[in-house]
Amino acid sequence: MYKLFLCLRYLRRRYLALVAVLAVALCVAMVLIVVSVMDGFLRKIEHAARGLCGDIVVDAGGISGIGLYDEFAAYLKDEVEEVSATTPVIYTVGLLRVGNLTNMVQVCGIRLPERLAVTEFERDMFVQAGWPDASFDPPIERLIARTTRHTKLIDKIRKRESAKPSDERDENLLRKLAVAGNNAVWQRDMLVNISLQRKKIERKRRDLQAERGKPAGLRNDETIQRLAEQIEKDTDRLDRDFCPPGKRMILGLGLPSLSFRTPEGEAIRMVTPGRRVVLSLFPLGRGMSTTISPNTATFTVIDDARTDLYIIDSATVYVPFETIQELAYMGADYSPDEDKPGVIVIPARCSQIQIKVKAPYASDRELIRVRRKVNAAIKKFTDAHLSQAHLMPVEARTWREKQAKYIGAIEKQRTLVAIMFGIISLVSVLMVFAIFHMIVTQKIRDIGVIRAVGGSATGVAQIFLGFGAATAMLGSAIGLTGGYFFVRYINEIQDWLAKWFGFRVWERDVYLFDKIPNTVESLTMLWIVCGAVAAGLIGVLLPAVMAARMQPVEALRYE
Amino acid sequence: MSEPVIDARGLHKSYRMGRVDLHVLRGVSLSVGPGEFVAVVGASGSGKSTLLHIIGLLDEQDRGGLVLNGDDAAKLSRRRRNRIRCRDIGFIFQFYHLLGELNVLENVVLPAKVDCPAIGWLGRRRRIRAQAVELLERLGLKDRLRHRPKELSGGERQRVAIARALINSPKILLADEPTGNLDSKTGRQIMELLKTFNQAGQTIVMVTHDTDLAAAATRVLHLRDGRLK
Repeated sequence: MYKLFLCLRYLRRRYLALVAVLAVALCVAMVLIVVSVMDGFLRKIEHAARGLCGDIVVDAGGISGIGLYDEFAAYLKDEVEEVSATTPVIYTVGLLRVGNLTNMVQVCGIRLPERLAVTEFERDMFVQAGWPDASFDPPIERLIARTTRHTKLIDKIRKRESAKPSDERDENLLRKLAVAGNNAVWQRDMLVNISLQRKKIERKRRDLQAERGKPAGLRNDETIQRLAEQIEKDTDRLDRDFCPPGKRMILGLGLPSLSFRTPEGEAIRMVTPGRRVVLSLFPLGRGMSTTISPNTATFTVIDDARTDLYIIDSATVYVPFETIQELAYMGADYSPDEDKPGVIVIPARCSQIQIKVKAPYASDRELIRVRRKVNAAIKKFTDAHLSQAHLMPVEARTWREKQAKYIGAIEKQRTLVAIMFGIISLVSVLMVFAIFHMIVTQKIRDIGVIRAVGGSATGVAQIFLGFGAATAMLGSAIGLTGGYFFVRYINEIQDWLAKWFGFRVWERDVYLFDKIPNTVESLTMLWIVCGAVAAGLIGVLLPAVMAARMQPVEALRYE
Repeated sequence: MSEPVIDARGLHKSYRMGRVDLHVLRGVSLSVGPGEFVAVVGASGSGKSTLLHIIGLLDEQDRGGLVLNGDDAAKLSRRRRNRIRCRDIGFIFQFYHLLGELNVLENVVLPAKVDCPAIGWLGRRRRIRAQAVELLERLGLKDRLRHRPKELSGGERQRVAIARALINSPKILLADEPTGNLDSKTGRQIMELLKTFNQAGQTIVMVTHDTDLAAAATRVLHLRDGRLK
């Protein structure tokens, strides 16, 4: 009883102990902030990586691609019960021309409905965000509404920036906003016009239908002829202005010059839905000649998307799978032999098959097990199609294995920073040691008295160890509270710093994340508290042993 | 005659001071019966405090035997020595040795807390506090219960130390120059208190260099050249 009583009393009355509490609190807060923010980044990257390629990825052995992918997908679903969905993907490179700008891009051919079942692609789309029916043919009204909202956002930001005093106003930002605003308004008006044209064509189709439905005597063939011609002409013109679903494109939000971020983090598009772009790509699928001529096609942008992986978002465009398959010469090759019309010599191919596993098997450990099963299925499927063996998938990897190089680098970075701050935290151990050594030296007579009234040597050690543990726990509690609220409101703190001191650590126009991660894991907190208490105990151990080994008579005579 | 509470036979104790061995006790024998008030008088450095510390189990003799209330000190475990020090012996020091972080009442109650495990303390807390308050009232410190030691005079501090020494109703009260740090008037008051407790049956062994103070004891012994005379 006396041990607890004395260690709490020492904690309350020893100002030196409060310095130790403060040292522990600062170290705990520092480590918590660093680990939480770094973990937050890592989680975001992991989430993005998984959202990008599904749970398991089957890659092709070479640029020829994977043949019989639909057959393999069907086989996989039968063979591996854990698989819930699959989708083929084609990757190739191309040049994207938007107005006068040309960007080198990675072209990703996707089957949008299938991809939504495998990845979280729809999560961060501009027009179709969170829409389960996202496609390359969204309702034009949705495009208009979203573009209108974007023009309003641009207006709001322009007003906000213009309201600033002239010395704080960012004229460059205002210029860019003006261009983006004009683009968006022009594009929205064009979309409205296309919507009207569509309605007009629809009306003419109804009229044509009605005319054709009339009895023979009342039917006017001239009218039918005229309406049919007009519809065809209008449709051609519409397709020129707004490409058909097969020629639609989703841009990666982050392509150079096509979007930018304001210092407050708002993403501003220079290109909004409805814009026509030209894509030239190099057909990698077939080596029929020594030269490679690019294939060029015009696309209409209907959306943009981001994955939060800068390397992806700054260089990727998404187009319909079948379109890119054709442009990249990855479609089926038919026999030139006139005797064998329609006989497929080389099947259509994809670059990758992405797999989603059922929820109960989504853990890292389970995924590795499922990946083994997929690899076994690949082997069996290849054995059954030996004639096409060179076009068979070669290896399945989990999303983590696939992104290991990227995620591993960030993990190492996080570990390195945690170690560095851990080493800095050793300073707190030394401080606790120095402070407790001083306290024990000051309390030597007390030790003599405690021994004189019956306290044991162990009891004396326990008083100081308890004192150290209490110091560490109190310091941890203060540090955790401070650290938690710092992390929780880290973005607000940064905004405040930027407002009053013009100091911004997190440049939102550079990073693709809107905000600094601000979540704190309870397990992280637990580990840090355990570490801090252990550090406190280590710091106090030697002084406590010193106190315990002191002879009572020596302690009473100490001056 | 009843059995002695302290029975020391031929106690020897020496210290090493640099290269020299100081032989402070050279065969001290002492027997103290229950209710006695024994004063040991000796010059400074004569080994009085050493003798008191050995009797109080704070130190160990090099040679000789010590029996406390029938227990041979040489055969006691560390745990048992701690318990005897807590329950059967009360110490009064020249420099009071009160804990600065605790108030008067907490200082007095401290030995009772040492004697009590946490659970037992909850049951006995009220009774012990009442006992401590009563003791402090007898010592004239009723209004000082919440004061810290630094807010008290020397005499008051020594009275708090007396209360602390008596809280566990020890069989032996050991006083090491209890008035050595006080003015003569306050010193006399403290001696009066000790006499009062002795008259109530408390066994006291006091060491002092002051022969006048020693006169208050029922038996006076002189420690010279490491021996009691």
